[in-house]
Amino acid sequence: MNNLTSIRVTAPPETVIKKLSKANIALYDLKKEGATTTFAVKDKTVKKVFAIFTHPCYNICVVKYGGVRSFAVRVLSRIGAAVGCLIFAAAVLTAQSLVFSVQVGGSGSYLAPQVIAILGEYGVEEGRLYRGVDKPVVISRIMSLPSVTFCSLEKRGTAFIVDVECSPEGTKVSLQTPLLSPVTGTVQSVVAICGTPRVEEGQAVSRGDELISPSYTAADGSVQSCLCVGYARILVAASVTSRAEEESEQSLSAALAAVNLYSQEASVTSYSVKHASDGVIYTVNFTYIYTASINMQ
Amino acid sequence: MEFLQQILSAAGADTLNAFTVVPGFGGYFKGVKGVTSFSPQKIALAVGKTPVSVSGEDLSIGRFFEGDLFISGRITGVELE
Repeated sequence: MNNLTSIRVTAPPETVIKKLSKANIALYDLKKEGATTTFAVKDKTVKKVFAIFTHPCYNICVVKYGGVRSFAVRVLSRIGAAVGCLIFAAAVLTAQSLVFSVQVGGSGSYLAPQVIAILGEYGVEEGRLYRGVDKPVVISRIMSLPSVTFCSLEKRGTAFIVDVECSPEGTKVSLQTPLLSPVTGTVQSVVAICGTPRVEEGQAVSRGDELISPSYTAADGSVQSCLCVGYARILVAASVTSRAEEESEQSLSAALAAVNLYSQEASVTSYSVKHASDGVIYTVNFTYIYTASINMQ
Repeated sequence: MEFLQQILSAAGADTLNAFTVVPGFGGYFKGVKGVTSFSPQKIALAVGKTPVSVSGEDLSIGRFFEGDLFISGRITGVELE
């Protein structure tokens, strides 16, 4: 983009050269075209040139503007094309910020349903606007899937690409069964990495109750099946009895120590001593935390 | 340029009134005071006391400022009139 403005004037070249030379104006590309002379001058001297040829006998006009003005004139003279270009650019930019496909590759591609479900929770879904994603959080969620050793996320054009690599020694878990409670107790906490928790904290559960189901609800409201990954901590109340020949501190300690067979973190709630014909029977009531998990490494 | 200066000095001239012609491209003229006539075939220049006539084809003035003149086109002859 040069900064020369092309001008046409009805005057002989000699006159043009003489007048502009006298005014100390640099002259470029002077040509004779019949009765007119075309030449170019720097943009900043255009007004001066018009002032020089202000006499009515000189028919002067600008043939082509230079510099920014030339660009503006070209754009305005092709307003349809300019608007089309702007619309196209806007469409390209909008398309760039959309996610048209979520691609899960790598040796862990069999975990695609679970990965897509996790991405969906963070707003990355096909056909939706991409507003960025907290990559470390999402990667840690995907890394918590069974056997996953590496994960990377990349937005490439309109595709969101996830590379998931799994340990070759790891067992490819494709279990899509729910997590059932193996004990009767009270739920202390439930963590569903994949799947939907079916119990709440403080809820009493019986043996066989479903804790986490292998499904999730998509953004469109549909229920999708997925791998069940997670764990639940359940407070279990239990009792243990032990027999001793006589009531003593040592016998009590032995009875309380039996609690540790169930859990190292068991806490004794009460105990009782019952005299029998051949000695005493200690009954120790205690609680402990049982952790039920599925597909956790 | 030093050699050119020597030649011009020996001829009683100087580089301020010299010109250079590049065949098929154009010519560069110094010390031009004005253009006395102009046509695509012939351009008459006022250079010092001696008019210079440049003849050729498709001649046009590429640039003219403060005595420096560039004539573009196919120059076939330069005459001192």
